Amino acid sequence: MVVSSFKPTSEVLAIPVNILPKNWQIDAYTNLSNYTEYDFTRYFINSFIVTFFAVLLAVILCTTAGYGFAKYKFKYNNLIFIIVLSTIMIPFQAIVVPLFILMKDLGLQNSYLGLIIPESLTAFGVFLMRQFFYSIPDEIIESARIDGASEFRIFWTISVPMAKTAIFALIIFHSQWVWNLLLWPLIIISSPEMRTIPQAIALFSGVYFTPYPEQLAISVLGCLPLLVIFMFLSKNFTKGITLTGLK
Amino acid sequence: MKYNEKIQKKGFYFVLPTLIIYGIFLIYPMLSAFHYSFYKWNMISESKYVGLKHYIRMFGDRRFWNSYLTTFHFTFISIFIIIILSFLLALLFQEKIMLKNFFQSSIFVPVILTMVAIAVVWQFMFQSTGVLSNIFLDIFGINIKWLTSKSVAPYSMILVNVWKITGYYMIIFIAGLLNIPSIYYEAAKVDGTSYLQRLFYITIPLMKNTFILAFVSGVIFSFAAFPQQYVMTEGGPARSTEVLALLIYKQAFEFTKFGYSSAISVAFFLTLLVFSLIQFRIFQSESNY
Amino acid sequence: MKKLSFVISLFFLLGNISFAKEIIRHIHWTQPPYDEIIMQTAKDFMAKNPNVEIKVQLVADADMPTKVRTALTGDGVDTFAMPNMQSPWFMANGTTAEIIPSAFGKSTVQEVVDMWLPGAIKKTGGFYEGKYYGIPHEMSNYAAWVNTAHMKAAGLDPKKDIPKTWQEFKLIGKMLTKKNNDVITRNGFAINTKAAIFPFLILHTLMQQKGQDWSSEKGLHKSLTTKGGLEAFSTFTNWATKDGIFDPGLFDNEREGFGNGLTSQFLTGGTWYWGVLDGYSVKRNEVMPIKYPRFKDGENIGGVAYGYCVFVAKQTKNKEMAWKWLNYLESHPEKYIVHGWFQPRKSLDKTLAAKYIPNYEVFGEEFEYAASIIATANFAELQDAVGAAVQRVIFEGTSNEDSLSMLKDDVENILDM
Repeated sequence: MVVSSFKPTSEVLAIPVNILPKNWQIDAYTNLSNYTEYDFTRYFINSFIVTFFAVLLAVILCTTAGYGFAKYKFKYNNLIFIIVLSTIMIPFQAIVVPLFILMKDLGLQNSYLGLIIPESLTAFGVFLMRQFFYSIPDEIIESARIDGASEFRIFWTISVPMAKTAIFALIIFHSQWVWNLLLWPLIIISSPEMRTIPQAIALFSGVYFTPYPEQLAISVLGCLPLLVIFMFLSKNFTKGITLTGLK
Repeated sequence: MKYNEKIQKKGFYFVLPTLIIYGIFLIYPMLSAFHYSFYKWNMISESKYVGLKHYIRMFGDRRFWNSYLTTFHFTFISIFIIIILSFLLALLFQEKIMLKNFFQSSIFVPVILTMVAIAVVWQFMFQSTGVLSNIFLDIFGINIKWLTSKSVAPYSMILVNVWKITGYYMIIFIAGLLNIPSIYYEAAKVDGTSYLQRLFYITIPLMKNTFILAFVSGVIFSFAAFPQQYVMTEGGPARSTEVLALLIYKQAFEFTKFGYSSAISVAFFLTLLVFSLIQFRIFQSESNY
Repeated sequence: MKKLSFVISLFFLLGNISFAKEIIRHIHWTQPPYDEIIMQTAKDFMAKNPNVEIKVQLVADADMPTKVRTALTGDGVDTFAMPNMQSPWFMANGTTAEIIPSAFGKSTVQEVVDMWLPGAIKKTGGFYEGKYYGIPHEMSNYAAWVNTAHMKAAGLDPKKDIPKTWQEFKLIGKMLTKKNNDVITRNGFAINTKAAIFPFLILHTLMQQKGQDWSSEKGLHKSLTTKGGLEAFSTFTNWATKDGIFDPGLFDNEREGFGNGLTSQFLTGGTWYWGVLDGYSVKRNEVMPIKYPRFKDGENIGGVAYGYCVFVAKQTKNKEMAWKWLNYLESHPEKYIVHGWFQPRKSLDKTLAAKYIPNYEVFGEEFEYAASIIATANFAELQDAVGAAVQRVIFEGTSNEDSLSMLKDDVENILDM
């Protein structure tokens, strides 16, 4: 894909397929600046803002909820968890329209919040954190309680650091999902300035003719931030955690 | 002990924010969608109450059952392959390997790619004169119709799915493996156990929670997958790759039969709900240690 | 001091009133390079009408209907474009407003209709059940395209051996198909079998040529049980199954395939295709658009005519201004013709078409005999059912008769018969 963005259009679709272009061109990339109606920088910024806040909100909600489900035996724990988990058992296409109407009633259409809130919802993230919090020994929590720490303090200073790898995994997955989301932004965004990168990529698919090199060029540029996030986080991954000794 | 009960109740407060926000932005729209399954609605005009008509139609709809079975086929074969493959890869990456980061990243890259890019790449692979076809022609002497054969196309979709999300689950398994304290392995090594023994008696049992996560979430996600079908085959050839999520999308957004689409969504939902409940009953998630 | 603050606040008040622009939100599909013309036209209109702000939203073609529908329920849209296959749904569901003659400087709707070529609004999807709702943005009809270089290489004469009947079309296809062992490396003919609309449009012509009436839902339903209908259907599917001139696996998009020299003929190109071709390796002087072949004893019907119209939403507050904007948008056909894009406005200098569109006579003549597509709100489902019927034969090995019988059941379900 990366290589194809350097080919002239005719070569992208030639058969038999040549993996390497005969004529290396960076035209596709420079051409992007010719599309004056498309403010690509703005779209990148939009994607960044939305992704950052959506992931932040997701991490907050998922870690707290996952912790609550895993480490506490309150009434209806399992039932509430199933209810939350059930939200990923329905395909997004089915709730898109009711959600859109709800957002319209709340006055959130065509806004950053309108993108961020729905895109921060991931019951999978709750599930993930719950499973990981299970593996934290109860004894550590108990001893902290005996020492007089509040529940929130325990959560924040002990449990969360121990779930670091899971949180990083969540950040990676969720930012990838939010960044590449097309259907929801398509429906809720109506002004060009609010577009995100996937919409920008889709714009290249003309009805009669698609300039593939340019479309692939913007796709490549669109992938780079995620790749950077991934490489950065995976370094931290392999550091692992050291378990404090059990008394 | 009253004190303990009080503490346990506090757990609810951790869950509350999520419950509220999910309640408003997910559960309410879900209930709304279920509500529409009893109506005829095209998103613009007044909705018309039709009772169980959509459900009756659905049970007799050949297209629906084809979709249902196609989805099961796609999901379970994908997940079976993905879980085994990603677990093995995670184990592999535990060892010291040259260029580990490079390989890890390249396995993960498909996860990051947009569907547009994936479609273009795989289209080349799948063309009858494309890379994969040429390889198969050279080795096996047959020209496989990747996307134009009713029997092969579903497997091509599975192939793309495996390629796309193995990296995802590899990360989950790596995270899970990292959570196992090395003390256990060291103690076992001192006792003179073999690699396989350690694998089966320490690693896998301690990874139980991770396996549950991977299996349940994997099934749920693959069940709902549709971008590759939408972009690469549009459900064809002859509806052989028309998974439920795609059918739901078409009914709602192309045919504007929102009510019928919602009825199919309900069937979809109930299937996954039953599946998850069975899973949880069989494999109780547990606190370790 | 009081006087000053009074004057200042009055100034702001007046300033705000004059700044309160009327906003018209317009949704249009994107197709480089036409987007720039649209954006520029919007800017020009705003310069002429400083109290109006046009907000243009460009959306990928495939997403258009979804986007417009959600916009109609959401924060609103005032004007939008729509192809004639989708527009009946919008007109039938009461989302569009009728033409307002005064916005065009006319006193009756008929006078407005007469600003375009006869039948243009009907063929481009702006007319529904007796009323006019849209004005044309583009009108096209399909011609058959052949690669004359391939013909010459195969010893054929591009002047004499042009296929005039479907029989000849098939034979030439056979001569021009290239194979490597058993794998086709160049199609004699190609069509996109994934997207149902394309087989539908070609079948439309074939059916009409066999005397069937695909311009109405009843006619379509009836054709599925007639001999002529079966013959039309089989002619099409045979290209992929029995005639050996088409392998759907070679590539998806026949317009791209033709441009890359991987198919020698295709049937879904309009005048705009010349511009598209320039982006590919096959050159203009190596191809030629020709009239659609006919059946030897069939009707004289040419390639299908279709188009796009622009509409005013019923919910728009100032409909007159919206129509003024649309009239302005559609008053510059000379800007589009240079790219091969035809707008059927009478004000367009006829010589321009001939100047910018090579072989324009073919399209112009064929247009007289072009089949008109059904105006039905059920179009999406019908098209999908027809596409499935074609795919059953090509990919599942179902017989033509059986597939048509299943199609008949599907159509009856869709039309609630």
